[in-house]
Amino acid sequence: MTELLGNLLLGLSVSLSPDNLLLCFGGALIGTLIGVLPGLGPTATVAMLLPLTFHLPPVGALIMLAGIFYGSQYGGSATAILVNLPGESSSVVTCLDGHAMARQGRAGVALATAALASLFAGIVTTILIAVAGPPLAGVALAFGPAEYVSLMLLGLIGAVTLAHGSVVKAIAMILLGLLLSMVGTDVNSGDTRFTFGLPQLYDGIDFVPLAMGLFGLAEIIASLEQTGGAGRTTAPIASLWPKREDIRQAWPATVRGTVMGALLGILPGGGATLGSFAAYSLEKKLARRPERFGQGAIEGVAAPEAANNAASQACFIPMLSLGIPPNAIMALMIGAMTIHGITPGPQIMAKQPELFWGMIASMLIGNVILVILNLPMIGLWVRLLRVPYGYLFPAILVFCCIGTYTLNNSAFNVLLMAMFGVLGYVLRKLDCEPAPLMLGFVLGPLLEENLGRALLLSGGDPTVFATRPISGSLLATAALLLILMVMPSVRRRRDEAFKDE
Amino acid sequence: MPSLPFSDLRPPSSATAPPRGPSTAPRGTARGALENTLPTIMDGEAAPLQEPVRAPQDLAAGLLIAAFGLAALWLGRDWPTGTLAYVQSGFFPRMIGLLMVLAGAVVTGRSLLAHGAGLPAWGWRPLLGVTAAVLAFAGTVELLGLVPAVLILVGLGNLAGQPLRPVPLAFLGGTLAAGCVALFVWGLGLPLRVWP
Repeated sequence: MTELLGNLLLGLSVSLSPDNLLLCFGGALIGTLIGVLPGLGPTATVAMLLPLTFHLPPVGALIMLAGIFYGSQYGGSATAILVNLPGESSSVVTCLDGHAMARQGRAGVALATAALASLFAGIVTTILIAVAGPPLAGVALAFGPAEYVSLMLLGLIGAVTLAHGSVVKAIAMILLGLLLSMVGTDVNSGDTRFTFGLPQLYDGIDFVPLAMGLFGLAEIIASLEQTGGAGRTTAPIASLWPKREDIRQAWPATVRGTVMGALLGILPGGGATLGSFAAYSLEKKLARRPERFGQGAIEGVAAPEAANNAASQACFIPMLSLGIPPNAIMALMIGAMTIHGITPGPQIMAKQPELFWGMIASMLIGNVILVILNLPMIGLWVRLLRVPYGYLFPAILVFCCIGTYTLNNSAFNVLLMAMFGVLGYVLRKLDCEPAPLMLGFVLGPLLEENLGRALLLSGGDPTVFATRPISGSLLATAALLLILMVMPSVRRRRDEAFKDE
Repeated sequence: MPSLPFSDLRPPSSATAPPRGPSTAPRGTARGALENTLPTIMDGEAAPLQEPVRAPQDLAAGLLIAAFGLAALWLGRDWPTGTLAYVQSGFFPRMIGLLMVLAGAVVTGRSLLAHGAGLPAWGWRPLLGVTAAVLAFAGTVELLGLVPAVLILVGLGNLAGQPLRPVPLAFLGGTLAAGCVALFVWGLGLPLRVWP
């Protein structure tokens, strides 16, 4: 234990030189500025800015990368809160209450909460990695395909709580997300599915056009419609900073979100993606008045933001020990590490301690610098909301289009975004909410892959999901959750929340 | 135009200028509004107050969900499902398709039994305006380059809301086009075509 803390200090000593601090600061600044543009989610931002780090020495590059990564994530959260545009799957949850808060004039509070909750989660998880990282890597090995299937089912059922209206409709949206995730080439057989013979669809549908269409375009259309073209006005900004009452509500949620995110992040594969969704569901279940969620509950911002940051930190454990990146950004980060001579694998902690610990420490520093950088900028971001909607929405459209286009330089993606915009608007009119759809879409490939694998391993015996202890208990929890949700008493409470404005 | 599973939901003639529909409806008519006067694209029902159907919104949602499920089943009718021990590419789509048909049937069935929200009005103008603007960008960005595509996008998108006057509009378009070129082409070095 002392040895591990010593390692962390070694990492800090590497990454705290003035040069490296400057690189981290620069990375966080550029990452935030690019990441905050609607249409450019963290993945796109990191991908675009990655070349900036190529000519730097390894430690400097990693530190700058950490800055860019945190900056882009925070920028993405800011876009989610300010204009309801999620750039990656975890921001989908931040949109729900963050944007509701922004509409009530509490955008500053939401942004500050997001930053502080992330900071807390980042610091706690880094220390956790330093203290318990290597043994925790073993936890991942207890999870076979059957466990993953049950975990994902639990996550998907939990996603129903993201929506307000009918449980069946929310389930249908999850199923639609799963269906959309199947578009493209099946990894096992190489068969193409739902591609309509279009080569542009062979790689599947990208997250960005789907999210930008379902959330961004549909939101613009709906808000233009509801206000006769003038755009929704936000309430006057009451306060930029969280009040004591806000902090009192937010901190337990932050702690729970951190724990949830760290636990799920340890699981390779889908774990980190589930973090923010699971934290949100948990908060809504624990809340005394769950109907507040979706209406601007501060816990609904604090918990998922903390969980997301904790998960993206904790996922370094499986990523470095097993080499499995949980999402596209982490895959990019691994790519960048490989360029600088860090090969993910079990030996990395022993063979290149200063690089490994330097990286962990740079994550910590990236987090801190991000908060120092962004707390003063909150006033600036919030002022964006005062731009008249007639000017703001064409600008959002432009950034959505360019962001989606530059993903693969493909006009087809922009076309897809337009179609998903229409779909999102229709779904919204029919009171089907898109947030569960996004989780289904993100987890679909993993669910299918693990389902097939679990059945293959069990020789076609479907009882394997119930008989393996971890899998069985996860499945039982999922079933219990589902029963609770369709029970009439719970239904009545959900229906109270069934009011839009 | 490629046909995707939801192509039937695309508005007709999305390339034309949006009609002046009743999109300037007053605030708060979005959900469950009863002052609905427009026929909808879903099943052509109007005036939900006189309808025999008790929850037209749920009926439309249920039918849409079931339609997606059926489309998935039909498109995947020839794909091999394999056995439980060796699942093949047709298994998962069929399973999800069946579950969607089931969910759609439940929602539809409930809409016939229980009272619920009526069909909301449709904001044709913002829907068509925004969609047309984005499609126009998709069509022009490679053909004409970034600057014309941004100008067209801003110009068409402007029609979706309360249109700006020509001078502010030109200012907005010019600023956005110049800003995008500066940021994406010069700043980030993305390989984008700028001019025709």
